[in-house]
Amino acid sequence: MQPEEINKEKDVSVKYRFLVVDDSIFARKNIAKVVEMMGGVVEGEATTGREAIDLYFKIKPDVVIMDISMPEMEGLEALAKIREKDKNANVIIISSLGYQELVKKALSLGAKHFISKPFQSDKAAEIIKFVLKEIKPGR
Amino acid sequence: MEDLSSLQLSEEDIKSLKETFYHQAVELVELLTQDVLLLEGSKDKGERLKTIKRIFHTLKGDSASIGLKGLSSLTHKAEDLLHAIESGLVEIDSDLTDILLNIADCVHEAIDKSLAGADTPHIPIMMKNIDSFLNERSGEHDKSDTNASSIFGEYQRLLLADYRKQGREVYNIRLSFSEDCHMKSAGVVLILQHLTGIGDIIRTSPPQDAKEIEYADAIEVVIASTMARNEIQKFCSIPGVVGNVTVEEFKEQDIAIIPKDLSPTQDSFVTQKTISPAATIRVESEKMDKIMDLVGELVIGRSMIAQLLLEFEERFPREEMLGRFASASSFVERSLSDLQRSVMNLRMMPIDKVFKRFPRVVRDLAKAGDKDIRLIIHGEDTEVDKGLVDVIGEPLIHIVRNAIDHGIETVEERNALGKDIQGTIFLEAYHQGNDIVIEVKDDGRGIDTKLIKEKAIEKGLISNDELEKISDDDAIDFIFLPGFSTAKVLSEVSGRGIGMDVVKTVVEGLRGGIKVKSELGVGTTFILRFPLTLAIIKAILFNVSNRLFAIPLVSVKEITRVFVKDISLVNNKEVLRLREKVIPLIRLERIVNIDRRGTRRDKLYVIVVNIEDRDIGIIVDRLVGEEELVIKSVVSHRLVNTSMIGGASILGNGQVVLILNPSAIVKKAGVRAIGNEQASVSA
Repeated sequence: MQPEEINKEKDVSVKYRFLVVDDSIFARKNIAKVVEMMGGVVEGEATTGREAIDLYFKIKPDVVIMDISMPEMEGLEALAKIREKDKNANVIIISSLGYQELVKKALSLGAKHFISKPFQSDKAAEIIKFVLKEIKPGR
Repeated sequence: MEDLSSLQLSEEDIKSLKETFYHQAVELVELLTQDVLLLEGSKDKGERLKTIKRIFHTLKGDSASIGLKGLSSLTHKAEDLLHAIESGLVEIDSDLTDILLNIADCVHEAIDKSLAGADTPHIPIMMKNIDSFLNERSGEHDKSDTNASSIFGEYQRLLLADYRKQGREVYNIRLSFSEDCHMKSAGVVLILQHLTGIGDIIRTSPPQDAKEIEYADAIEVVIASTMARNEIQKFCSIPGVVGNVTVEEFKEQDIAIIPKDLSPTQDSFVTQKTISPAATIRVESEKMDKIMDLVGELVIGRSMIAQLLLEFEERFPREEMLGRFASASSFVERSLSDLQRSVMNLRMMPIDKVFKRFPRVVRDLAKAGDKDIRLIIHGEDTEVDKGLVDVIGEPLIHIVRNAIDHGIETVEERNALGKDIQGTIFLEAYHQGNDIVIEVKDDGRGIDTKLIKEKAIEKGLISNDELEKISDDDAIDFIFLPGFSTAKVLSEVSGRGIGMDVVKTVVEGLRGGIKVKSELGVGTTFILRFPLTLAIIKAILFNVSNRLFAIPLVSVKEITRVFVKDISLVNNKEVLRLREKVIPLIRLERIVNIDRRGTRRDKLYVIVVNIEDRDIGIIVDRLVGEEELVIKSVVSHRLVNTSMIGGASILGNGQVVLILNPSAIVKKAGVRAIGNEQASVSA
């Protein structure tokens, strides 16, 4: 199944809105590419956990894709804060190998899925699609 | 060792790292063996497996970091095996125990070679063995087509029945990890979170938090759900984590319930008490010996002061400072006694260190001899001198081996005799007075004294007349004579096989004694007795030919004064009639080859020593006194036959005293400690 097919199955008029959080610009671009390929739209980009929290409540995205292996465990804290205030927040985390414990923690904090770096676009797309199955765009 | 040198460590650092590794690894392997042995009969197999795995894991990491690649790959492979066990692919049985023990042995060998920085050539062979074992076992597994691992507890079984009652279906879902899943345990968390949405999870294997998930190809989940099978199948495809999914109805007959009663092997090995690892430090024994030596020097210093004090008192009886001098001296004496006791305590360690080898020994031997044997260990925390721990293992193993090989009957024989088909070896240690006693008891066929007597006559050790007078207890002691016990008939029919004389020599070298009690058809007990400490002894000091000797007080029974005319000759040997008994006499100067010096006296002293329940007199010229001696070992020298010298000590006045080893003296003197002399004299 091609990534672009998602929106064909659902209501095409409303696009899924994404918040991408990563301290590496390269990674953010990569993710944005996948999101757009799938017909989603990146509404905001953040480089730190703090920024992510602020931005989340400003733009209320459908999905957050966030690196948790950012310095000082910020990703995990941001995830906790976001989920604390919004029980329905959909967060997919990204993690480098070797941060498995953080990933497990994140899942227990309510992350919906995880993507491991190095980043593979097609795999990432599948995972995003899997998470989107359960949500309607523009909640 | 390239891994180490790249870190630019000094030679010394590397050496010390290696040593640290060595010491820790040796301990780990001991623990490993212990846990493996307990695994089969363990109630909580999961917990045991975890411990075993943790040990392999630690060894893997450590050996890799000091550059032992072979050992590190072997332990890695061992971890794979452990994983297979935990995931239920491999059943826990005695074959598994065997291979785990073999691995432990191989690891041990590798560790021994680690100080030289080499790996053992057996590693590749062992690794192959593990592979073929795994292949064999997983093959079996496929055939039997069990959905679940054999470990399914009572609780899960109850849950199962409950869910069925509610009309829910129970499924066994096998989810293989997709190739791109690089974080499997996180994947499992996700899978389980996902699955809780459709039902109640009864069991996950491997368990969610098990480390081996990282090496697993798949996990299996037993779940109760109202969903249909194909729906579940669909539901389980989680991208990035799950590859293939198979969903099957969970079959009742797949459940093997952990038996509630213990399997017969369970009590074969007594669970050892865990000693808290806290509050201990590791000290090289050499360092401790050094302290011991220094304390020894201080003890000598103390007696020097005491002696000086006496002289001082004689010379200046009215000196005012005398009282203060005396009290200072006694203060030093008291503190030193405390110090001595404390240091002595440092040398003490639980005999467990020796005993814990035995479950393995007994298991192996029982298996080899097709016997069913239970080992019961008591008093494993009895503290004994380190010197004893170091050397007592081999003799004990020898005794146990004999007990298993020749003492305990086969299952059929025992059955026919109406005995409990499971034989028992009883290993016990305890303190008695100032002694450590170690007992090895079996409930086997016992020693046939009749056969021993026959053999003794055949070997010309004893005449027919003498035989009459020998008690059964005495006859048994023939097994300790060199060469005697190799007698084929003995080892076949009743025997304590080969080399009991060696055992005896070792025991006596530790200033101990050994005794046997046996009842035909009921069993045999070996009783080994050792002094509490091997470093300081109380001894009687005496002169022979103006030379100073000492003999341990423990072996002295009495001291008596005799006239030369009281000594008579029997068979050209000197004997003494002492009250009702006639005892053989020994002249030390003939035995230790010293010139006869000093004047011949009419009156002599005889120190009566008791060696293995028999009295023998040593003729001495003069008694010097009783003293506490710090034993220093004597290095073998052509002038001294050290077997007869148990050690040496220095007295307060600087004089050197040789401490005799009574049993070696008796042996050397050719006094057969059988008792026939006594008998023939009185006859």
